[in-house]
Amino acid sequence: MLILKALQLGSMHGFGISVLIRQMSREVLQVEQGSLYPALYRLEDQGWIESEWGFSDNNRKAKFYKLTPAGRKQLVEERSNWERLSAAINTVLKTT
Amino acid sequence: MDDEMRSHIEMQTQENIDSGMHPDEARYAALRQFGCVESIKETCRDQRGVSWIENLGRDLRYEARQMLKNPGFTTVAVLTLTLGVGVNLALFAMLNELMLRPKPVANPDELWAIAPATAAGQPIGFPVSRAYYEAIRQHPGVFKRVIGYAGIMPKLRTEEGAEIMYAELVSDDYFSFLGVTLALGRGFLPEEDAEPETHSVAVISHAFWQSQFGGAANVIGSTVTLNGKVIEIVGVAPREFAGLDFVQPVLWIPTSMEKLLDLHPHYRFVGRLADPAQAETARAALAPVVSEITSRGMIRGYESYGFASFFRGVRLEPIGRGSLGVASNRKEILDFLKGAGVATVLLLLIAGANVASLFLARALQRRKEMATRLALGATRGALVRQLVGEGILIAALGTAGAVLAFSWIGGTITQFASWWRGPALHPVFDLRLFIFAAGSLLLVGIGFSLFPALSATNFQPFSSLKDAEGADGPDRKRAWLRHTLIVAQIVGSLMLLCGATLCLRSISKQLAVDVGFRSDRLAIAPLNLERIGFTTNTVAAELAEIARRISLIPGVEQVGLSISEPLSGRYSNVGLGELEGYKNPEPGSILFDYAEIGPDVFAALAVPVLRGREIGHTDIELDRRVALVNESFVNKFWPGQEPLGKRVQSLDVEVVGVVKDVRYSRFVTAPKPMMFTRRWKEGLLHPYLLIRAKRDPHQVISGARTELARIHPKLLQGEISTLRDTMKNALGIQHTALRVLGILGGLALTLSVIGTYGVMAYLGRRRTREMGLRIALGATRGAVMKLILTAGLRLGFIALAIGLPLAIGAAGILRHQLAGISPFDPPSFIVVASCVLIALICACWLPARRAAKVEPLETLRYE
Repeated sequence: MLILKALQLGSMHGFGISVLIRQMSREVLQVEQGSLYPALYRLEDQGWIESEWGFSDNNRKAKFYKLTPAGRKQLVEERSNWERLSAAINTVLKTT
Repeated sequence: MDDEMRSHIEMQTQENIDSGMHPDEARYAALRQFGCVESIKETCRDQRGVSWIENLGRDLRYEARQMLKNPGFTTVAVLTLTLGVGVNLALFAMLNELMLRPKPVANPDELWAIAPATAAGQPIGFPVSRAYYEAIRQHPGVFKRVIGYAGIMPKLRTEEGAEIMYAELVSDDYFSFLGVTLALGRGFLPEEDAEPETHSVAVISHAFWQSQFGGAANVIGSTVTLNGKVIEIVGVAPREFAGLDFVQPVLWIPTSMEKLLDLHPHYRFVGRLADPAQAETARAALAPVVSEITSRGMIRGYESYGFASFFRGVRLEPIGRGSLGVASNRKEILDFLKGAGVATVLLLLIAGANVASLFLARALQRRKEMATRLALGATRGALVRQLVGEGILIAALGTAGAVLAFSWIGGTITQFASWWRGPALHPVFDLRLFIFAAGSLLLVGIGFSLFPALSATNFQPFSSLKDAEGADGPDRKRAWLRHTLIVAQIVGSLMLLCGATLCLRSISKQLAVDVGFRSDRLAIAPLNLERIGFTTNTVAAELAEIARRISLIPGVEQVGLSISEPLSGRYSNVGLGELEGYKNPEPGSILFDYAEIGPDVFAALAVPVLRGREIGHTDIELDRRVALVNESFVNKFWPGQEPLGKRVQSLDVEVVGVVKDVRYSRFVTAPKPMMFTRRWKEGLLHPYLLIRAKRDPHQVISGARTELARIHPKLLQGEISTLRDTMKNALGIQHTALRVLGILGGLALTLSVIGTYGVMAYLGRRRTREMGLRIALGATRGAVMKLILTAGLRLGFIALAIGLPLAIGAAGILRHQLAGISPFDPPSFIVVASCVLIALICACWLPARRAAKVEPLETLRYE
């Protein structure tokens, strides 16, 4: 979900995504770079993101990912699920 | 994927440099942060769900490349498996043909054969007459309908003469009952079967249509002549239908023609049952019908084949599948199949073990490669999958080879079973066979590569990388697998070879029995004079001419003609109510053996005629009905009387000579009182020409064949064989068992030797450093060789220790096939054990020599 959110801002390559997630979480979440790519491939396989080759800012060849319409919908769904879940957990934790 | 990750790492490196790290350090840090590239790639690939087909394709290509890189290994493995799987496939094909393949009729599983039996259900081999047939037809009981069919041997008139062929009398609804659609024309109409002697019609088989009429479309309406009667053809059967029985009829005629053709058929019945559970009720329902008809005794007009009062019941057998049916030697054939099945499975196991040990050796050779790949992040599962994939690929090639060789195998099966008096088996490659082949492919491929694959990939990577060629600790544990495989192979070969040796000794004992005359110089040629146009009136002169011409061939000492085949194992006996000159002390018939012979038989067999004379050609010309008797006959029935000149009224023969006792028909039993008659004119049209050679019968066989062909190309019916061959055929199943076990055992031993050689060679190579060290430290080359040889022999002795008891136990299975020796025959086992040990030593010899020839300096330097 984090990847999908990061891609909401636009298309990005793998390295950029990892940097963005680190920044967005204010350095709390350091995505293990090794698990980034398997996740990217899985998301692509599920049809929520798509990829194409391009050139990065310092003229290196890189694969850029961006959200598909289905992916956008999935982000909305997952987001609402997450909010429901965290609200429920909060309620439980507050009752004691 | 590579590019993507590389660019990510480069970008991370750049960031690290930008935040102040030294470039090399930056790169290291980036790499560390990223993680293990190879295993991440692997995980990425696994994430892509669709990749299993890609994986398979890639694995297959990799495996194929590996196999091509090792042509020797691949060839040996594939050939070994072709052998193992091929032999099993052949046996299954035979089984399929005999028992599993459904007949080309409608709903074959509903068909049941109804055979006459005692009240207890024991089948009786006596013929049953038309009255019986009619009674069952009219009162089928639980069966909705019952059809009958009977095999007959009428004479078909051909262009030149006449030939006896096999045909069947059938009920009028035979074809519709079986659901067989005729290729041309129609089946029989009810009226054609109802009134005897009015209609003469026939339906011919597809094969007959092709061979006799060339497949002409206007065959309907043509005629054939059977037993002198003209019969019109009304239909042609479809190609795949060839009757319900083992032997395939040339044509079918309605049962009403029985009397017309002067035949005495032996009827058989088939009924349909929708539900197999009804079999018992059906049988019980038929019992009173059968009981009633048999209690009437002989039926007028059908006296020549009558009843016995104990035909009180029937016996039901399903016959929808396979061609075995209710054959009389069904049990014998099934026993043979069971035995052959065990032997072929053993061979497959041995072949598989061989391939498994080859696999293991090779996988162990590639340990460094495996270790590296594991260290780089490949999963053990992937490696095992690839190794097993190679195994399956090799199994697939082996099975493909077996399938290709299939048609060749089919022919050899029937040649093998020389006692097989039925038609040649043409196993058909149908669905069942295909499933069997595919199943054994998977089983073999996975079964024999899985364990070696698991075993070869199970280790700590670094220890193997460090350790170049020496023996390492974990390898010791794995050695037991290799050793078990070799021991298993040797045990299997041992069992097969022991079985073969026992059979061999049994057969030699039996063949060596003294039959009373020299059986090793005789050749026998079966002749057929009827099909070249001779009749009983004209045959006498021709026989004399044939005998004269054959006796002129160089190398031929004496020629005789006989109607019965000597030492065939088949015999006839006769029971007379009374015999001149003999008072029968007990009630019942006077029994003795008899055989129908022709001129000069005993001269050809070199059996002395003690009194009187032999049968001569003049007897045949003048049609004198004469006979000879043997000594036992005279001693039993006419002691103290003059045998020459005695007339036996019931057989209408006059005794003209007395011969020495010999085993004429059966060579397994001692001679009994026997009479040799010359009274059956028809028999002279199908005599056996007995040729006694001066030395080796094989030398005269080709000369005789040429001469007979010169007299008439179709005079000889079949092959000229020696008398020894006839005797071997008489031993029937034993001889086949010998050949099967012998060949399989030989193959198994060869495989074991190859396997042992392979493993010993591998072991030798692995221990070159150790050997070099030993030699450098002063061991002689002989001692080194002894080391390796003893390693091999140790395995051999273990194998013997396990194998001999097993073989002795298995020999018990053969007990009732062996005559003349006990299954626990020490010489056989000793001989086999020695052979196996010698073979083992040979297998270990070359590797041992090679290991001993090692130069110590070279091996030590290699480190």
